[in-house]
Amino acid sequence: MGERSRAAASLRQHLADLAGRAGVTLTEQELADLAPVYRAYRDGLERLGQSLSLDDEPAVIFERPVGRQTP
Amino acid sequence: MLPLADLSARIRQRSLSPVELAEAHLARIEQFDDELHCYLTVTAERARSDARRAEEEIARGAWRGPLHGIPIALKDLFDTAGLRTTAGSRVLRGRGPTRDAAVVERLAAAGAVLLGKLTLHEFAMGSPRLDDFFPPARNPWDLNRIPGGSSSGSAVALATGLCAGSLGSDTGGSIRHPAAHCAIVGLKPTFGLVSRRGATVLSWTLDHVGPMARTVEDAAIILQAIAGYDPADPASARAAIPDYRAARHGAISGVRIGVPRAYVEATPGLEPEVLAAFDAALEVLRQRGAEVRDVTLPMAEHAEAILLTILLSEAIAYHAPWLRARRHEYGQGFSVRLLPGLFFTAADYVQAQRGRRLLCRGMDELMAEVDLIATPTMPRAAPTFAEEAAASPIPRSPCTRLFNITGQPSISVPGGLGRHGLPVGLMLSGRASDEPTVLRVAASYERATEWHGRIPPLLT
Repeated sequence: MGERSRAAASLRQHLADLAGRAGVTLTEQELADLAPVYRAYRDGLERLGQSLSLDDEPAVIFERPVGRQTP
Repeated sequence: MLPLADLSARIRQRSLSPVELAEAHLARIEQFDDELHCYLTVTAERARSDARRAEEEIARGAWRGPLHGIPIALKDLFDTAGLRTTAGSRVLRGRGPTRDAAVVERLAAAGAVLLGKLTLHEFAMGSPRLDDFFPPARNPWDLNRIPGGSSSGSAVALATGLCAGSLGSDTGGSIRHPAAHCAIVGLKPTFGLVSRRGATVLSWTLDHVGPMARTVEDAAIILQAIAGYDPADPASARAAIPDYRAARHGAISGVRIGVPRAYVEATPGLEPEVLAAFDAALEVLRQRGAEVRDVTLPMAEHAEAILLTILLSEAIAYHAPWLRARRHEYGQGFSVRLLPGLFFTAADYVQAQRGRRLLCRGMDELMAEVDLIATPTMPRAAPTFAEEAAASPIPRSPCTRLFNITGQPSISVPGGLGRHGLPVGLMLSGRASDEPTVLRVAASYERATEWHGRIPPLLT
């Protein structure tokens, strides 16, 4: 098994483990199909993370996007 | 195909019978829906009963308002008591809610006549496939093309006169995409303005419910009926409800419209015909007195990561029990989009929410400088079913998704014709709770152009 194959197998195992946390079992074909999607999402999150400063910590993790007007 | 507002005026004058109007729509559904597949359930007896009641009430002077006696149909993710509500999925094929969704209650109170429940992409996110459990709706401008989604049946039914008004839901663009592809009007209101109680969830913090219609005035009429505080929806806001129909009147001179030109022109897959139609639309707005200027969108390059991380994480939280027990019942077009949500971590979700907060803050600053942001609704005209099936499983909605993240109101109106003579949309997005400006500028553009009156070739 070459290095690229080992890396691909390792990634598929990683994805299988992540899905397993939710109790979902993915087929080998699904894991192969989803690997490039996973990489694309990770790249986007990596770029996002680099743009977020630790000096800009939110008071709350989620705040309603439009100001709440409570009764 | 008269606008809802014209039908309403005739009903009020008693020159048009709600019963005859309902029968005419049922006959059109019978005639065209075998090809279009926009109805999942036709409620003919309910429609006749609703119409008879409306006719009797109006005859004795008890006119309820502009939706009284108007035949409408609903995306099949809004709960209807005693009528199946499937969310377009085999998973829920036999589901029969016991209570109407909040918006269904409001439309019933306004006297609307329910024709039936409309096709959608599975669970409001699937990618339509010709072998789906429920056959996908077809684009009336070219039956080999998708109508856009996920509120596909709503747009098709409106474009072909199979209903006079409808509702959609919009998590990344699901009202505005099909509106653009079918040449109708779709309005995603401000987050919290319209209750989502009884609407199938895709993403708690991104889902919006809004009107779909043939004209801006019709959308305003429907919004008037469904807007308002609902304590049963935790996201609902107690906001003042202005007269939306009246708000569409008036000049637009001096309205400041920002154009994120660099973002638009860098959109992957942007068709030159879409850009040309967009520039022509901006010229119309300029001629009507708007001040159009280029702007830079904050954090826009991260919008896809922010939206999809939040959307898919929340969707997985909702779907996990069914994914474990009934995964074989999901369609391929939905599974391939949902399953990557399994791979996000809690840290990813937190990062996306932090990014969302910064994007919202930056957008607030931008909206202090302009009144509206204009973009094409979609970068391309409707693809064929084959093209859609071969496309990336990563949902692409570069312009619409921004305003799901921020919760701002955003409307798509017919904005010209693109490749192959297919419709394209102009999208106008305003400040939070400023639907009146959005409607006013959209109506002004509509009055100056003829795109909203185009009839799909299927009907000519």
